[in-house]
Amino acid sequence: MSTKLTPPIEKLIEQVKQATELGSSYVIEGHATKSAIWKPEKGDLLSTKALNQVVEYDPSELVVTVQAGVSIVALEALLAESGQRLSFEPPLYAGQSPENKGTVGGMIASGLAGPRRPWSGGVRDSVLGLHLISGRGEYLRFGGQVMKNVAGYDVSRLMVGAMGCLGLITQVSLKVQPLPQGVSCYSWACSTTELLDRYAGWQRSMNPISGLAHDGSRAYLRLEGGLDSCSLFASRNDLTRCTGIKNNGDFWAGLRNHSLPFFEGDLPLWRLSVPPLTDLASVLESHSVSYLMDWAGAQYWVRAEQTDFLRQLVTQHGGSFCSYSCTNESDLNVAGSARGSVALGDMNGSILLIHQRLKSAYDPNGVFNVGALHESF
Amino acid sequence: MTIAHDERIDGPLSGWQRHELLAMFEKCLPAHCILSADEELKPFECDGLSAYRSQPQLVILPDTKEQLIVLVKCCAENKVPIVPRGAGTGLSGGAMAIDGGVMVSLTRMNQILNIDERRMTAKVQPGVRNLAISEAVQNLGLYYAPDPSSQIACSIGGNVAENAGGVHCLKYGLTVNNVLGVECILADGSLVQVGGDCLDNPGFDLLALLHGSEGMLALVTEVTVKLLPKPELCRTYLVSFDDVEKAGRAVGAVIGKGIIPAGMEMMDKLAIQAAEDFAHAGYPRDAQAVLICEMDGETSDVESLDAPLRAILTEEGATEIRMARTPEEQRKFWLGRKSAFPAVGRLAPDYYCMDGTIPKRQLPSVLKGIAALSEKYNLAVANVFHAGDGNLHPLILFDANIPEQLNKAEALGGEILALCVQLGGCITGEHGVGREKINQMCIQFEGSELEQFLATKKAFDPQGILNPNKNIPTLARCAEFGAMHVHDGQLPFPELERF
Repeated sequence: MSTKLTPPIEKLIEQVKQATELGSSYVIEGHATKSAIWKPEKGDLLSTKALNQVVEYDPSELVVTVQAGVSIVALEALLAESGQRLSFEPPLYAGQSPENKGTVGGMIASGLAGPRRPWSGGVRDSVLGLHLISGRGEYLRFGGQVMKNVAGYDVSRLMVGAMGCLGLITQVSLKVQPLPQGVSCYSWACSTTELLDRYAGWQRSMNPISGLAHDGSRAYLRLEGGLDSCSLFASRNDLTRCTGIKNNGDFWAGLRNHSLPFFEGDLPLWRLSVPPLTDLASVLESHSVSYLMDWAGAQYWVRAEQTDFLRQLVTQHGGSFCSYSCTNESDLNVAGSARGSVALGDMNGSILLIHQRLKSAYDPNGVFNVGALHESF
Repeated sequence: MTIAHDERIDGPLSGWQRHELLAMFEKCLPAHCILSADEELKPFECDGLSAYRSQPQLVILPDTKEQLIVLVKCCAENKVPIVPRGAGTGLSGGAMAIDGGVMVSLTRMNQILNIDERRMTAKVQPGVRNLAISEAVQNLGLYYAPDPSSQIACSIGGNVAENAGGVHCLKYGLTVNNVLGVECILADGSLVQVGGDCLDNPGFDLLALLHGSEGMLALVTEVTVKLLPKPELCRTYLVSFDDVEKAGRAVGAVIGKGIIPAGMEMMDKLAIQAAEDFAHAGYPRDAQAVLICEMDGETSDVESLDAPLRAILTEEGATEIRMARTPEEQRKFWLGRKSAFPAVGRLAPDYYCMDGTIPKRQLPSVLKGIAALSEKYNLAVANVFHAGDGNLHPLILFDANIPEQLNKAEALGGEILALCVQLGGCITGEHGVGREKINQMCIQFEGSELEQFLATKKAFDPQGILNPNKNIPTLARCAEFGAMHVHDGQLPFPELERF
């Protein structure tokens, strides 16, 4: 099945082909809200701004298809009109202007998900198909607009988190979910260890949990589901709704969007990805660093000057860590600054080789986002 | 156009003879792992798609991953193609043997290695049966969600290779959404971990890419799966309609109103009657279509959705809504659906199961199209759908003993898949391309996209030894297939040389 290409896409293809001929590179840019977590080597900016169309949305299909330059805020507003949402709660980082809080293309390329991730899946779990322009300037379509599709390799999901290194995503089809009937938030003082132990018990039977976090002194719990199941869960477990409900709702938005006071300030910010229910509280406290535990212990945000103990910690738990404050050029020279480069550096040689070969297969001339994921490509 | 390997368009075979392969592997593997006698090889001549048969020259049954590594290294050195096989329940000929190659059956690697109660995960070998995982954690109140119809027999390694679905994937996802990590052997024999216990990992999402790759990118040696708590309450509704299109619309209406059933299955009149004759499930014989709608979750949620669900279904024209009152009745409702394939098998000597997927709103159009095609080819088609996610399993009835009927069934099936693509869907939702749908891939994708797939394969397997010539057709094959299906006087891939 062939696709009719619109002028903005034809123009992008032309630009890519030009770069191929000239041997130049591009840095793909949407709203430029994620500059703290990645920094490709230099290249001309290639904006997805012109790709601003909603291609198709039929709520009864639970599928929405949008172009890469559509803002996440606009997409979420569109879905909300039909009582639906993105399940993975993509972060909306502050951008150059209030309405520019990230594009769909950046959301897919970065693969970042919010507090609901452990219960509703990540970006990859919602991606059904996408179109992209390869480094050869070819327009390619993978996956589709249907829930199940095993024709060919799952290239669509490969693009999630690939940081734009494998091609320019032009449009994506996403599975969406209905809004829950009820949402309630709770917060109380307890230790991280105590919270994780309670959660270990809760998760063994059905529950409406959609957020579990700890800031070093207080537990935060969010429930989403049927009205009855939320209130029943709360009463069974003796949870009293915290008095400042509004503030508590703000906590979850602040955690998702990195707008809590914790994320302000100059100390370098690190993200640790570890297996769920990993309790790092005592180690982090012994180093006197402040932290936020999210994802029921599968994700920690840490503010620290030195990284040696973080490296040890994630290695010990089979996880990885990366910087969220690579704001200047010199940061790139610090081990572990570029997103994921620590673990990629430690990566099995065969796996690194596959990464390099995939890069060559999709972008043989190094047109897109060189160095965004790894120094070697 | 036949799906059989044609060296002219699919590329040359390795040329290895059985005695040469035997000599090669006897040197490095224990004798009990090697099957080479005709009577031992016979059971491996086909997978669940029995219309296509090809007896392997040699079958290796490794006990351990160390043996598997030795085998892959030997194959890499000598450029011997490897066809991996799990339980052999696949429905697309993905485990069809190739001449000059060796088949590797992973059924002996069938141990559950670890169950992590606190993190609710299980680490298992690839030969472990899908249902065996749920059985092993039943006492903990947990289960493994993806449930392909073959779950009693199919293996988890095969589930990863095909990205298997099932009747509950609208709510609980496919295999790719329920696997946290795999350990696998690459084409050069190196053992690597992809994914793991964390929710994300640095680098490309190779774990997603491996799912549904039909054993062409790596051989899986361990799989870590997510376990879920069993639902508190599960209710099953049998809903009748006097019009199959109304049933189709009802599916979209329920989901559009924010109700996500755990399963939403649809059967048409021919399938209903066959299932009823076979299973005596109490299905309404006079209905034009039935929906089996399953709601699960926390007791209060499931109970509170009963009234809205009934209201929507009634508004969409349901003639009867029956809720299973007892576990026995619930089992019967499902028995009818789950025995639909064997039941239809009694209507004709053979049936051919298709696996197209469409956007749900196209259900009425596709039903009309299938009816017209059924008439054109004069072959009956019974329709069984995973309606909730738009995955169709039309069953084409035929008799292989009548000359040309298999060809007719194949041609009819091919047209149904082309119709799915035309309506915005795809040629396979969960059974995979394998060898069966290799020609239809030329309809789904353009040459540049197929080339990108081939380049992806090459990144993992530069020599092309892992399950070669499955899933992705060569452009030469598409050129020849396209020549038979010329559209608007345009020959696809006119620039291509034939070899």
